[in-house]
Amino acid sequence: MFKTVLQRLAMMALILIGVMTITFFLSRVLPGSPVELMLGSKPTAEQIAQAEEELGLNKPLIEQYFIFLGDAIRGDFGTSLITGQPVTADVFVRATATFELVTLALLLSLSVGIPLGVKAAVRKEQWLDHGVRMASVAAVAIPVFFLGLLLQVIFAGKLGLLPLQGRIDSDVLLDHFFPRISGFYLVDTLLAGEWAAFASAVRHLLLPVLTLSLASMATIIRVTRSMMIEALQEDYIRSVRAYGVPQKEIYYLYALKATLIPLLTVVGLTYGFMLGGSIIVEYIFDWPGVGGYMVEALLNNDFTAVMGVTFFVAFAYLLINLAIDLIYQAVDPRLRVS
Amino acid sequence: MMEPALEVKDLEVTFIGRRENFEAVRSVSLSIRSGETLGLVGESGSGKSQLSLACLGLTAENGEVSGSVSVCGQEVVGTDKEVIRQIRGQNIAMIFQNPMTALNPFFRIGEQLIDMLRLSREQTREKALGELESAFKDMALPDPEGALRKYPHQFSGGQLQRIMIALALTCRAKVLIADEPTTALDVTTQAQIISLLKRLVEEHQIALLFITHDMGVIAELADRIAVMRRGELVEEGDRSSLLRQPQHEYTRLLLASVPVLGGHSANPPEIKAATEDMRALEKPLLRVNQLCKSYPSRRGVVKALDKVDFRLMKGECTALVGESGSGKTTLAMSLLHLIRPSSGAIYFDGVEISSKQRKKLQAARRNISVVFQNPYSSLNPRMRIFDIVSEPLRVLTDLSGDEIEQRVVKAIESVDLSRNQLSRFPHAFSGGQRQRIALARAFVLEPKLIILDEPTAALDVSVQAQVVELLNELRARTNVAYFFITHDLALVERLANRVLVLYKGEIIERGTVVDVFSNPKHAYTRSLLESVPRFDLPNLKPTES
Amino acid sequence: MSGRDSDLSWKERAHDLIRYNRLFVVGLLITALFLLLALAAPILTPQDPLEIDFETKLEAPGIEHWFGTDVLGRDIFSRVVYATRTSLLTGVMVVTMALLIGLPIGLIAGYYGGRIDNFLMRIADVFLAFPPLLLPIAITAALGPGLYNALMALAISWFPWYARILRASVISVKEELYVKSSQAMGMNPLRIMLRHALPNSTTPVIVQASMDFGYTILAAASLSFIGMGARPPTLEWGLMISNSRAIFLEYWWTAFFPGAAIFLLVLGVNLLGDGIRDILDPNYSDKR
Repeated sequence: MFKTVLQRLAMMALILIGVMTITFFLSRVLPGSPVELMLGSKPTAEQIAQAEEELGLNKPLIEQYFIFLGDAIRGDFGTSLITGQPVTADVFVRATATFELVTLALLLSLSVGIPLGVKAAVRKEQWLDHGVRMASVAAVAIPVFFLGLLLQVIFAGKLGLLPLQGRIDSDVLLDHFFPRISGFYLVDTLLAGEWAAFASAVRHLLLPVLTLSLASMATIIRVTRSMMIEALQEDYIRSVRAYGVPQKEIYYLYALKATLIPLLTVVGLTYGFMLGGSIIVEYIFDWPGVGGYMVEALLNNDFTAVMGVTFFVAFAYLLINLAIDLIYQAVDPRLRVS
Repeated sequence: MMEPALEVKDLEVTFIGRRENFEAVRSVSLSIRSGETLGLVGESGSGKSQLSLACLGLTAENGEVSGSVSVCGQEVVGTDKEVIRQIRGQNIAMIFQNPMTALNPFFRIGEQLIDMLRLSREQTREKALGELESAFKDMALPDPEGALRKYPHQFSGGQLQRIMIALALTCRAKVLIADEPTTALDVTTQAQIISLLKRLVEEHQIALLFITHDMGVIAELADRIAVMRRGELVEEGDRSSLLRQPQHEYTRLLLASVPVLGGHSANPPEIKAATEDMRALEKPLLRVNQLCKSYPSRRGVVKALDKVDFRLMKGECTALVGESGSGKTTLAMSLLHLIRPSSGAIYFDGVEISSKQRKKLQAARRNISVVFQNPYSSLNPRMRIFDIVSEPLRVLTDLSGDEIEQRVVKAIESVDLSRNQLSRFPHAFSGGQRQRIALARAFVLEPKLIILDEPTAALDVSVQAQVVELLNELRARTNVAYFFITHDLALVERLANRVLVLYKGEIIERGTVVDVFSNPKHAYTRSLLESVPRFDLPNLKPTES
Repeated sequence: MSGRDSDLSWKERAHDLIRYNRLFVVGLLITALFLLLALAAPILTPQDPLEIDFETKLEAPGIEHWFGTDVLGRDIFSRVVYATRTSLLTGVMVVTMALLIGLPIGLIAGYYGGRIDNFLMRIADVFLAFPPLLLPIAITAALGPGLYNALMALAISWFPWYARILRASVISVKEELYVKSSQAMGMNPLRIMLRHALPNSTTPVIVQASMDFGYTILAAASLSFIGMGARPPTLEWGLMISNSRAIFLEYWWTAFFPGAAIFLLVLGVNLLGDGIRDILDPNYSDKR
């Protein structure tokens, strides 16, 4: 087991270097040199030379690459042009907001998707199955940004039930201050016992979480359903049937476990899909997370920040996949080294 | 007279399809008493498996069942699902063909077996555990207590099949259906499972329905035999009378094509260099010298081939016999130069084959062809038969288009197919026909040596016999040599002049087929020979009709 | 015995599909409708999609303007119809480019195995280490915003999937005995790859590509929505929605019709993709 962990870690380090290399390469083919962006219009030749030296851009590319790698390993991705802060610090401040959003969306997708997928498989070719399948085909086809806008029009605009955007009401925040402990508003408000703030945080979370999770929910339903049906056709299910085990136990004891374990890999993919989707969702709902930060940086030509965010999000995704990989190793007896 | 444990009357199973309905079982009646074994024989698609599923009430949803099946007096057809469920596991149990997939890989053996007993028989955990342990002991499983804590992948196929039988035993099922329970196993394991079943039927007075395509296994085990073909029962009778005087033509065909030691109908062509002295004088076509191949693995180095040495003469057929994992395939792949041996050398027509000398290698390849086991995988499904058969000519020779066409037509006609079939794709042909096409491709180069890797293993017995006959005929006509790889000793007798026995990468016995079979020196060879089913019944040749 | 279905030829299966799978027919009709819109846009539209008319700005849907007008008084129906061309082009181009890059890599990695395979697949892993949408955004940022750069970026981040799928399929086809026979004959590896390995291993890739079509259209629209894809005056649904972001609470039609168009097209294309999978991969449909 220990050996497997080491192997995975080594593999991850290798991929991480690849990710850094791609990030470096992209940051060097940017349109317009970073110098121009930094100095504004019409700098003098002297200014340019000085700035290039400061940034190390006059050195050979390969040397720049190693300097970049060294900086990256130390967590230094340069300074954001819009905030004036180190990109790393900016990302860390905003990471918990994104994490809260994505994790809740994932939990929602799984807690709705898996039971529906299982039910659809059990009631294969009945109305529930057809209904669930229709809904999931439709859900996958809605663009995230369009869904977000639709929900905003309906729930914030027409019905006025929920807030349009943001993470918490600023008035509520003034009256009900809570200390930042975990960075998750749901947790921190509860720890501080500020129920009004908690309610406000929940109300703000509803629409973005729903927007982000709908497509993934549909995917999870489809995958669960087909894995369950596949599991039900395995030989070992036939042996269980031949010994008269009741249908209910066959579904929920034997087939479900065989479905849940391979489903783990889908959870990893879904997480990545949501990290990508969060860029759009945070932009629409003005959510103070990493994705919103990235779009803002894009719109302001702040490429240092864009590349920094790219790296960190890829890093987070790698960590999550590593964790899932290790869990998989632990739960599948065939992979366990005896 | 005692009431039969399993009685099937006018059973019909029909599958409703979109295009047409498919009658899998047509009006079949049979019965088995306690302590009796009925062997049900048929080739693939004969409906034997659907018959057994119908007995358990497990026919797939799109299948319609009519007639009657009664298990210990309880009707199954048309009965409420919940009632049938309780019959299963109490009165009737089943073991399946592939034991490797019959248990859930995610659960420990103990967990799932105890759950099955608990849920189907409402037994307590302790009672189930105790009964399983004693059944495991009865099955001669090593470490019965430890076995319950292991996962399925930690057992061999034979052990898993014994576990499945132990489960049936623990249920005290009065009727046991075994659907090809030994087909996925090696011959020696196969023999153990069969003697085990024999003993259980007697000791526990079980009614056993044993389903197989293998006449040989049935002759060993069954009290009565039923023969199925295309969903119909063509003949039924007690063992000796059915084997001695088969009434139906199809039964005769099946019997005639069973590879039986000593009872063979086909004879391999004689060769000139029949004696050891004559072999020593003549130049060998193929000489393999101290061939070794080892693979690195977790538990150190695995020797797949260990100092393999042999000679093959022009026009003779040498059989290489061994079970799966003995190194047979590694040896074949080395001869074809698809695997590089670790050490040793292979000489063909006096020239060493190695990748260092490309020209000589290509020249050798023009004279060595291969026919593989599985005719469904050996023909590219996207190529026409003409392209498949002509490919070796196009790759290895400079013949003109006309010459190629002539050679292809000649080859395809020599395997009894017609030239009109050359423009079709492989999926239009049956397994036997495909194997003929593969033979045509092997012969089109007019090679000196053909490597036959279990060429009949994937075919139904009746087709097998035809292919064997064709192989003998072609060898007699063209004086080609065969290197014939197989696990089936009865086929060796029909095809080969000489035999090599491979065990754990080493050749442990060699000689003429007659010598080795009548007087095996090595214990392993003896156990191989003993595990081949024999009927000691004369007069099995089909009457001409 | 449902396995009998897989004995049917693909023509018979296509026939069954049209007859029994209504959703596939719906997908076919929707896709055909959009193809027609794209081809016949000049005939079908009442107005030049770029024509500005401040007199009629932000008019609600009505007889004059079926889908209403936008902030510059342009006819939204005409704009939506013309933008069909962009989205269809997007799907075709991204999938084609990704296949062109991915297939050779997958073929070589799968056929040769060993170190070459390891090297190529680690490169693919690096590309797959980025969550979807993130890498295309970063690449487009580097290349400069624009429709063609966005398409290129999507193709670059998508090709590893095809490389992987083809590789897996080639590895199993490589074990087929007809490949072994050809190797035993000493046939040239390139010829084996092109004649035996590739034709017999493309089905899963085609299946995947047909199902990716819709995703690609969505991703390209998303890039346009955050200002990384198509730029004016290119007509693109995502861009149209982005432009109405500030006003959609009041003038819902400026965002609704382009959004509904994306939804319908992607729905149609996905249903079609599912159908293609059922035709080409009968075992998959047996499991369903």
